[in-house]
Amino acid sequence: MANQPLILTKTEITQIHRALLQMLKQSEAKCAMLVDADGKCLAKKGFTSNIDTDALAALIAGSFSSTRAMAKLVGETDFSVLFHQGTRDHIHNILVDTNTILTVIFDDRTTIGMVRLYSKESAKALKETIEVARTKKMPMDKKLAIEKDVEDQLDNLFKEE
Amino acid sequence: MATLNYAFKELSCKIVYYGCGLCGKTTNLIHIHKTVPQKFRGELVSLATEQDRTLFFDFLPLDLGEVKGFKTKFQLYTVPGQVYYNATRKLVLRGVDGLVFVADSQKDRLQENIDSLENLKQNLAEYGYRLQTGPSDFEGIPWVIQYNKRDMPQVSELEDMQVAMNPNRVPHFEAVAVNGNGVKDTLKGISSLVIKKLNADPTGVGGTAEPKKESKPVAAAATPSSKAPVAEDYSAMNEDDLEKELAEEPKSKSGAAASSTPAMSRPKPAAPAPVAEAPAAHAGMPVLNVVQKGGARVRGLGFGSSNLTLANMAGGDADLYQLTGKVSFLGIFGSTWSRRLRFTGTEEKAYGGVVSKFFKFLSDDGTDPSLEVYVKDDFDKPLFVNYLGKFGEVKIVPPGKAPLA
Repeated sequence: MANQPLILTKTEITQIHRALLQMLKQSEAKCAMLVDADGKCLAKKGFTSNIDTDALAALIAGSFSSTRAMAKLVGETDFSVLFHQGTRDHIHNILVDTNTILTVIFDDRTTIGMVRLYSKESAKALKETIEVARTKKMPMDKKLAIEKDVEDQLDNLFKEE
Repeated sequence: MATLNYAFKELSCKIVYYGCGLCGKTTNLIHIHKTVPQKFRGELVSLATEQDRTLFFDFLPLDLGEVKGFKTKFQLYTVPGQVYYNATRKLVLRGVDGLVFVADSQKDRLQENIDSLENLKQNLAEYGYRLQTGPSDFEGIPWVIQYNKRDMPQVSELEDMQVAMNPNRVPHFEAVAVNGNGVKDTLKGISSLVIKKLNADPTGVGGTAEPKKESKPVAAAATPSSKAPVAEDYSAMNEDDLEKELAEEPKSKSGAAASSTPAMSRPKPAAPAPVAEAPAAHAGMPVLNVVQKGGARVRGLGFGSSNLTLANMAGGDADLYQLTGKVSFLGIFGSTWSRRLRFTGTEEKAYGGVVSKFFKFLSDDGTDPSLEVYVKDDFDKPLFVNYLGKFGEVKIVPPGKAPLA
């Protein structure tokens, strides 16, 4: 069915974090994020405490979407790597699968070659995990009956209105 | 698509505000950003033209906090309304969970609204989505209509607009977004539909808060029972548990990976051992991520160059920090090292005739007892490092600064 939710359980999260940590260790990058093409940050590791990862994930997904549109215009299906070079920090993005992006932020302690090599390796491992997650379905016996609670919570949020 | 993270108990949904140009989509987001306390929302990211027209999208993350044990997050997007921005407008619809169609109630905009709704249907169809036709249609994307600008002088009758745009009578809301009227109700309406769809999904998604595993007794936590992940494990975990689990990984794995690419592996500084014990963190330990180029001198002589970074260590003990550095003298003698540091508190020190507060760190892994690191609690957090090197005391300072006494 179109638009089926993505289910991440302990199994996937552990595998994803393991892959990210290993990649960070090998490449000596600062931090890594797994970003959904919808703009959600699925997982993050490393020094992300002073980064607005929500906004970054949305923007990365946006830039990947527009890159894909560009690719189509020149007869490609995708550009699988996207690199942003700064004066101090740089961002390297690589497609894990058509809907998932591995983002690595690094500085001059390492090199683009190291990041590219290890994120490519890591993307392969992540692809398997994500593929499994995308086919996952939850048992019917669990319901998330929270509509009313969400509405109440929204009322709370807007109470200063 | 919504993301359900059972390990960290997080639910995250994407809601898009759609509509023709100047109908008030961004105004909805601005009102939400203004009204909701900072704790519950992120910053409003706006990719707009010089004339403040949305070029790509506006983005506002909304964090509802825990709802029945699930951290619930909504990500609100708007699309550019202008007809000629369709390429970017379409991209924002990817993975949408709920739509708010914002209609401009002014009489002369009726046709534009209808065209925009048609455009929405077409763009959705390209992703294989379609709009929900009724409350029990769980194949379609949930959507609501907001009739905005109800305060304008020449507005269409509500019923006329309903007939033109809402034949299936999905929930509708009247609004004056610029004053905030109806903004909250619209958001409540769409949130509720999105959650309802999650529940009623034929794939059976959803789950109530499960008994929390973290509350198990300490003795049980020490056993490596949870080490091997079991398939379909929907139990909750927290970040610390995961860190421990990953730290216990067999070493052979990383060793094998490293040896598979011997040509690429660089000489690395002795990596600090993983954190074994986790004593209570200091209150007020600083969050740091300092990257600094600077100068270095040995025994007060001979300038060299340095490249330092100091940052909190990922996971584990909260007051442990990692210092890595490269120091070279005259381009000949150089060293690269990495040390685990422990935050020992703040200290008042005189520097340049002014007494200011410094964060003080000492070596934690016992490899370099003489190592002292000071970070001035300042806007750009300059870093001062003193240690006993091969040829005498080494002092590393930020560019253009004198060593710390």
